[in-house]
Amino acid sequence: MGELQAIDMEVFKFAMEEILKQNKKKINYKIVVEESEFKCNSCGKDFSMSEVKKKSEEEKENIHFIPEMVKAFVKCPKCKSIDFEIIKGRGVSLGYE
Amino acid sequence: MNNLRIDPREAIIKDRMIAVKNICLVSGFKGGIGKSLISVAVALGLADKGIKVGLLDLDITSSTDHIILGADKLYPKEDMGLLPPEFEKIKFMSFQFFSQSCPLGFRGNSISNAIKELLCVTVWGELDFLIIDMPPGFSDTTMDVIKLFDKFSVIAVSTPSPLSKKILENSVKVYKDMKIGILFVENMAQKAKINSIRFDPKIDKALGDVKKIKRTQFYKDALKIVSKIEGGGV
Repeated sequence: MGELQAIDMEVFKFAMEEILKQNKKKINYKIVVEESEFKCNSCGKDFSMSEVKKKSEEEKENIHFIPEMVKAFVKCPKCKSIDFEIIKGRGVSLGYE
Repeated sequence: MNNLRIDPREAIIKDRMIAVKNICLVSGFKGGIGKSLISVAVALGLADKGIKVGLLDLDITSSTDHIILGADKLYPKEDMGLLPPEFEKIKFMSFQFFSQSCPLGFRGNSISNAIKELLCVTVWGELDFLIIDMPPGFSDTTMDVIKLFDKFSVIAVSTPSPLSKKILENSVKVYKDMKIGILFVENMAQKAKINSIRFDPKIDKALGDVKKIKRTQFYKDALKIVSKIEGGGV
């Protein structure tokens, strides 16, 4: 689960349990939060959310709805560019064994 | 451990748009030719006729529809998705609500992702028309819209400038090949003609005030476009 999605884990777990119940399935699952990772297109620095100024609740909510909005509120901590790629931390992926 | 990256967004978007009867792109391929003003005027004109209309500003990095409408203090409400705020009987959605007017340094993949995310969360409900204000050029946004929507029509805007006309001619070939309905509109025209909107120097002073916009020559001319698309002329 991408960090930028800022999904409420309790709500997600509840929905997951309901789906499993409705489908009469029993599985073991683990939710892992994928930390954000950005790469500056200007100076090449790799950085994450933990290295930038803490975001306000309003900014966090905007990023929750549209993760790309992180580009409105985050700058490269080294060169202050707004031109960076989101390498990790958005979307949802599923791993299985 | 096998890793499967799932992307259900395109399926969700189709579901979200199911009750939208007509999608109309206001496209123009050159900047500064009045696409946003025409998008807003068409949406206002349709809403005045009691038609259920939505307005989506997809000019992501240079959104201006909220400025034209004077609707910059709006924010969507959350209810099983995001409900576009209603302004002047128009369901209005814009990236500006989320970017808080901060500059957006978007490249290709970010544009596609942002459009998909916005369309995934937006609950339009029942609409007769969704007017989409497109960015200039045959850009990432245009290609995403073509990919995401099964059916749409185009209001193709140009000005009397030969540059604007030439680039439009080249670009609409793509839509013609796809058999998409196109209504050609000349903005900033010197004289009144069919499908034209005359140059109106007073429009700039009306920005941000819908009542003033509706009193302009620009708006009165734009209503001809409204009658055309309402009657299925695109």
